[in-house]
Amino acid sequence: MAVRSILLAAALTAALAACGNQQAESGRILKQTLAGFFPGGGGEDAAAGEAQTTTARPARLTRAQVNATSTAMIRARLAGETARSVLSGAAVNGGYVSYVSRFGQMLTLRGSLVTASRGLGYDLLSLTPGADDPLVRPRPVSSWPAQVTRTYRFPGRGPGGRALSVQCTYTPGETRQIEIVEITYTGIQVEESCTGGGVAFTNHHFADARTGFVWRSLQWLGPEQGFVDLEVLEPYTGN
Amino acid sequence: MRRVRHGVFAVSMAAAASLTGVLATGSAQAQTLNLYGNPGLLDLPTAETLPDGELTATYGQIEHSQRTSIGFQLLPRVHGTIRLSEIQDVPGGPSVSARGFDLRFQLIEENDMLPGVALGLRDFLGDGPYGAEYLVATKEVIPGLTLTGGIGWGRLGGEASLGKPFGDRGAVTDPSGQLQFDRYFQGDAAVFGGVAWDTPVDGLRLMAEYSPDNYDAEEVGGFDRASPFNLGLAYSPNDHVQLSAAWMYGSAFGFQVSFSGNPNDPLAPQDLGKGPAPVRARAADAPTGTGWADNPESQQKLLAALSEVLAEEGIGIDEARITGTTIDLYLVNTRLQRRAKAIGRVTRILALAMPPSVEIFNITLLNDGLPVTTAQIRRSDVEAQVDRPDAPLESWQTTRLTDARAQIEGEGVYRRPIEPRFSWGIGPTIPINLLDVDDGFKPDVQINATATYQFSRGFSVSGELSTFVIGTDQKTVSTSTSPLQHVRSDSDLYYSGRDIDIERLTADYVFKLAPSVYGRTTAGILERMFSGVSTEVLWAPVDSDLAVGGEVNYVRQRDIDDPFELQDYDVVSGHASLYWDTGWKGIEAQLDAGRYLAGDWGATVSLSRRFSNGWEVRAYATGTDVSFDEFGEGSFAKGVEVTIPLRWGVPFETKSEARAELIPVESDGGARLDVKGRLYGRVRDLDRASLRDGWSAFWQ
Repeated sequence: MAVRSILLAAALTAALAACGNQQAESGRILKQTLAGFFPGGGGEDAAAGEAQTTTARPARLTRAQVNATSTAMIRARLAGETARSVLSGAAVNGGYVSYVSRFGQMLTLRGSLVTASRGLGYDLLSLTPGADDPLVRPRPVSSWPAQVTRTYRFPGRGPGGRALSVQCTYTPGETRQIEIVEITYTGIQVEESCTGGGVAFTNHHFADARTGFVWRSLQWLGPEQGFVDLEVLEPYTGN
Repeated sequence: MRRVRHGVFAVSMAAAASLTGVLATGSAQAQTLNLYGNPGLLDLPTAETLPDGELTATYGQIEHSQRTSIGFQLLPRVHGTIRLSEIQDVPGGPSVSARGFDLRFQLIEENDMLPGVALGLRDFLGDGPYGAEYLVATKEVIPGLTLTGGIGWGRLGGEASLGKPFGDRGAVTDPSGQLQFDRYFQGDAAVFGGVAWDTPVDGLRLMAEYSPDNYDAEEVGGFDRASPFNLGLAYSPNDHVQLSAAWMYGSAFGFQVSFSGNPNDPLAPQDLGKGPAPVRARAADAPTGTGWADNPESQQKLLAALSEVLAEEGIGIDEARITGTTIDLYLVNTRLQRRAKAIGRVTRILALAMPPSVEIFNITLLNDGLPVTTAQIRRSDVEAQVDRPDAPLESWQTTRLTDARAQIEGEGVYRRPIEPRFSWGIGPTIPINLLDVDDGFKPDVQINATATYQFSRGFSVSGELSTFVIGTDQKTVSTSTSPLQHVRSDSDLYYSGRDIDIERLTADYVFKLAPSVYGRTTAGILERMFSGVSTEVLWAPVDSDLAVGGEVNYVRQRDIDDPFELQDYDVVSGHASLYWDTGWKGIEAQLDAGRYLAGDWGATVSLSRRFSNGWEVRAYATGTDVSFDEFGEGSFAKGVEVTIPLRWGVPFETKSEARAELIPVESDGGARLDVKGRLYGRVRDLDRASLRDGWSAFWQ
């Protein structure tokens, strides 16, 4: 799935540049476009409207609703909280896909790895994936590297903020089945143990038995933020 | 079956999260503050450290002795304390107040092999009754059990003296308030020590100590020091509160309560709420024609929509100019406390919304009516950086900062009408008297009401009224014995006799003489005690760590009773000022040399530590041609100010801040005009160094 088409500001402004006789509409379109990023603010975007519906009543989220959006989509829940939020793909930059919730909160993913968070309480500025990171480049679990190094950046003094590098190792577990919005996946539960920079934490991933794609995971976002439970409802495929 | 498996996975992950969690490691931190508000046991110091930047407020009491202390971890290895102490020197008599200053240096940090070692000076200016120096070592010998031992002089050199290794201890200078070189580490020395055990009960620590302090001064007032041993416990229900109680010196209960906060550890989540707009790069084949820019109606529509979107971020457009390839914006940021975040959010919205031909974003933030710095950002850089791991660093490297011009130049500039012209506000403030020797610890509270009428961006008339809601018991008769004009020592008289005071009523004009030169003129009732005219010029290039300013004031002292009348005393005062942002741990230095309100000549040296989130602790000292004797108690003017942004304690954006002077300005020597809105304070948050410190917020 691609990112939501209404968010294509470039297309909007291209139209603006090309069609002089429609310039009177530019202000309205711009406002609608920007509001579309934050549907809670009154956007008229159909996909966003569905995201609102599904977020308000997550138990009713159906695969048909997910498919109807034609949008890459994830669902997230902060550890310790019960509410889950649906986030829709909003932008792709260099392979990093940003997903936005109806409240404007944002998660950026590279593959299935969360590389940034915004608005959840304590931002993860960025995360540099390992060179051979299996969450970025899926492959069968048996081929995952013995260790990857990741660098987290958090807000702090100076342009780069506060950096924290950790080394992570993997321990494959049992083969299981999980269901994500009416689709059952068979996969392997993998424990990812990370240490470095004075912290230690353990992520958990559910990786597809055949491809290694991580459909669900519990990922650490930082010392203050803690973990996010992430489900990929509809992966970004670049289409 | 699917649901069961699903549930199992969820439970196992949640359990894993809760069980594994995050294991933070690091050097041992002090678990307790002693009754002096310093890292320590009960009455004794330890060689433990507080987290860098930790600010603490402590109240400790043993029988009739009271100690109110404000402590600050100035640097990772330097801790300072200001204390107001009250002791009874006559049985049943009134308490005597004194102010004291402590400094403590961490010589060795505790590690697996070595104990922590600290060197401390208590009441080192000789003002207070607790003068002592010490060298102390602390080591956690087994997990949870910490031993402390040291050698002390002064009060800590009392019982079981080891003799006088460095000679006799001199008398306190008269007047006090000066460095006491004849006393440091001199006189009798004695050893002290103690043990602390962190119990299995979370936050509970038990302590025992041997103190050589003889409590001579207190015994004169009736205190019975029957034993050198103290036993007690401390309990910390959370990271910000600590309570302790002890049986002390064999005759009395002591207790202590402290509150702490750290600029690096906000009370509330700082990144909660709506995130920034996502950015999507322009399509490679996006049309880049600029013909659209020739249509004024198109520009107006674009600006109107942009204004509406920016308004949701609390940002208003003051001036704007859009060409086919460039957009210039002069913006008023009313809400976002971190300036880099404001620039970043505007950048994202522009990258999202501007026609593809617009490549250059020139973003200028106004601060109190002054355009300070223009951030020039290339859209293609934004598109190449956004969401990538190195975006924070790279965006700083590619952003060009220049001194802003007074206004956007060229044709087709949109200038927002001044609207609304009238603004007002009302709120509580904590004025002077926090650590007042005359009145003790007295946290007065005022309600202040302000109103401003804006004639143009730089020209306004404003006023401020105040009334006390706590602490109305002010003096009505001067008790000052100062031989100088009473430019400050009678300040209490100005608080008496009226329910509502006029704090200020001024016409203010700020302007730019050149891109890096700022000007200010203020006339009217400038402060509580003086009316007149104040003019200032500041040279502050955005790329320089140095700034230079000059200020000249002609003022007359206000009448005590009639807010619009003036006394005969007038003076021309003014300073040449040098500002230096050292770039090291947020430390800024300032030197002001010139003439003060009493006509005395001299200089003020200020050092402040600013954190990227706006916390600031500033200390200053002033020396003038007024002699120590003429100045009186304290010998010279000095003070400490603490500024805490409200944003630190709340989970929403606000630029409000609380500022408290810990030491009231009550002496006439070295007194400077308290004019509001000095230029350096208006521009320093937007210079290169300040923006660099906070730039990690750019993509937030």
